[in-house]
Amino acid sequence: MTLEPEIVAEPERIDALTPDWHALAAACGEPMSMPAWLLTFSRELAGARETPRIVTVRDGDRLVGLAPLCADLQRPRRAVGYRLLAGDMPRSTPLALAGHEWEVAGAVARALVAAEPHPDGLALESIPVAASWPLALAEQWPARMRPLLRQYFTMASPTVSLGQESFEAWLAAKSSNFRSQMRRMRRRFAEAGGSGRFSTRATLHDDMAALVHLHAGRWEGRGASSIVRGGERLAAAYEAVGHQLLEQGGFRLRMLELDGEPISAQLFTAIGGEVIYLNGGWDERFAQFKPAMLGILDAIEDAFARGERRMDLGPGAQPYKLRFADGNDPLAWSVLIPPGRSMPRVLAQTLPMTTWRELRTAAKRALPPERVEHLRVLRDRLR
Amino acid sequence: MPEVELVTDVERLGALVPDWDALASACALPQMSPAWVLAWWRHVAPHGAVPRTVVVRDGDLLVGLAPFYSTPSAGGRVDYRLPGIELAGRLAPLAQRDREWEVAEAVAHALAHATPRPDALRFEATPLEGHWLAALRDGWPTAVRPPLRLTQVDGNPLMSLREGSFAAWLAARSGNFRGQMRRLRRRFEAAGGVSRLATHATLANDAAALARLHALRWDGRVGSNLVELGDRFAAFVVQLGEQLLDDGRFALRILELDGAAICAQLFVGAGGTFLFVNGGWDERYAALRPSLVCLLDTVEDMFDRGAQRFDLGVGVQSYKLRFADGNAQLAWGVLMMPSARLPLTAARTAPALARTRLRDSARRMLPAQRVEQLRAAQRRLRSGS
Repeated sequence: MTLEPEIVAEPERIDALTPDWHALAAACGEPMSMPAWLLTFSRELAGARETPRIVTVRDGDRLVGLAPLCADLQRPRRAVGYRLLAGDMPRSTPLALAGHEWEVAGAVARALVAAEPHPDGLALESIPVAASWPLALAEQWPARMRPLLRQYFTMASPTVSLGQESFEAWLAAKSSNFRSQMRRMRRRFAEAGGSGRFSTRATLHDDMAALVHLHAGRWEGRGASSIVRGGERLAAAYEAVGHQLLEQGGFRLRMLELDGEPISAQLFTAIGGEVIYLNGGWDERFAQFKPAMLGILDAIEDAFARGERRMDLGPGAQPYKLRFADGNDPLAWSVLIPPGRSMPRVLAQTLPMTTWRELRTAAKRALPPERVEHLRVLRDRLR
Repeated sequence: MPEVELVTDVERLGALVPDWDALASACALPQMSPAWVLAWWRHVAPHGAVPRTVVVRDGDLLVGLAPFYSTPSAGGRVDYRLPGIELAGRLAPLAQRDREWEVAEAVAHALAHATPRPDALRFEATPLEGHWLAALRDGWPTAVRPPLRLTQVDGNPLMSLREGSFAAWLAARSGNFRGQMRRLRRRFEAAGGVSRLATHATLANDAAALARLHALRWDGRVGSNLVELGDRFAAFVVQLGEQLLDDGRFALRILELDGAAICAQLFVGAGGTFLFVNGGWDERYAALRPSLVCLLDTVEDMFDRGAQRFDLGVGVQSYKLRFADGNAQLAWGVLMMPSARLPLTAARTAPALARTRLRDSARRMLPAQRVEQLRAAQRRLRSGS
């Protein structure tokens, strides 16, 4: 197999690439690396902060790998940093057909060395730990010296295996305590007149507004949330993605309603048998119905009906996720600094952030959980 | 929370076989199956090795098994390693899918309190695409995560067998490949060659032939672990065959000319994956390309057995690349435990790391031809010729 890398930077050429890119994301089962998500979020939200540099890797005419990268050219006096497009997206990752990850990474490294502008640093944030992209790029970086590679943070991402024959079989394999709690929750919600549905093209706009509203309500007075920060622009970006992916089942917004009013909204995305829970919000006045858990249960049932194989509940091991989860597929944050004149500068720029993250990790490991929680509360108050 | 047991004697390992075998099959790792590991303990384990296998259960379900063993290395450093690097690569603990992180944390806790206390976990030919290196590092119960130093990365060619039948697979290859393979088979048959699989009746003789033919290939060269094992390798193969032949998970293919074995290759399976362990052939018959004929016959056999993947073993030799349609990297590395002995462990690891860096720098800075010259010189020095 002879792999040919190419950097695609022009918007028209990137758009022309999207059918093959989407098919590759499907083959890899990587919903967050679909072009619909990355291009929409990059264009709608990041704008000029991100200059796309999509590295394609082909074997003849066949697209076998793709690294959706961008360069930050906004700060001319700083080193040129490359990172994943729409870098705030959790679990977006370079793509490669199974068994070709290493060769694709080698081809991507070759392309990046020749890229214009030359990358002084490459950040690979919140990509799956199990993928070996950072190491594969560092090992095969075509330079006299190996780039510096620092993995400075990892985060749990609970998963639910959908390997059983059916939703009923999955439920039967859970503890009787779990089963009865779930059945009780559903019964209580139905008795109260509650109903659940997935968004359609006709309801998407209003449902998206409800998600933002409900999410903001949950976060009121509790520090930072990307949805709260993003506001209407973020809602519009989500909606734009929804319009691209709704019909093919790639975008699922689960709504729970009482008396016609939304009390919970949860967003899932899926491709190639993998479902990802992205975010949600619910009305605290209806906490007794446990709407977050009800929504996830519904989405799991729906995923079984579609024959999917796994649901990833997203970064963070919150207790409600752990009730469902039977696995963990953590995410890692890494930075790769290629050799060159700017290496000391990039090191100096990244050191405070990486050291801070590592210190936080060390504190979490060294201190008892109640002390960690105490520090977290203190930090939120200061913010 | 999972329950953890640290197994410290080989007899106790025997009691775990059914669940352990099911887990090795779920992970598609024949080289970590109980048949393989127990045969390794009997015939290959180094002197002074003691088992430190961590068994992780969730209720009655075996969710993880890490068959480490402990061995004192030079200078008194206590290394924990996974068994089998003398025979094959892709060595890793076992865990139910997506539970690697949870199992790794349980394994790390058990090993951190094991006796003798490990100074280092040594990983040899461990899959890079999995979670283990990161997960064990992250799960180690100390305030500071243990430093991880990789010393080597090597390729592991794979065949996906996704075509469903041998005929469909062959049809999907290049015309050149098809033509060559058909020509090779024709030539071997025309010479009176016979290709067969070992049975219980022939196992002992065939295992001896495998060991002999492998040693022949390495005659005058150093670097084969199997040659260093001597008779123990054939004994290992016989025990493995006795355990796995009837399950259709053991294939020792022999090519014969005039009743004499001219090529032997060993394959072991679990969970739809067959591993090419090793082989040997008689150089007098090089014109017949026996290793390629043998491999081709095995690919056909793998399709008949309904296998989904063929692991061609450590190393990206050109004959493997003729068959492979994928590659998964393997890593060698050391996880050094934070303790008062860490500086000593680091100092003892430093020479290997320095060699790695030097090799890497040479590979990066010198032209490929010069690197090959240096490699040849190194081989000559090692063999003393």
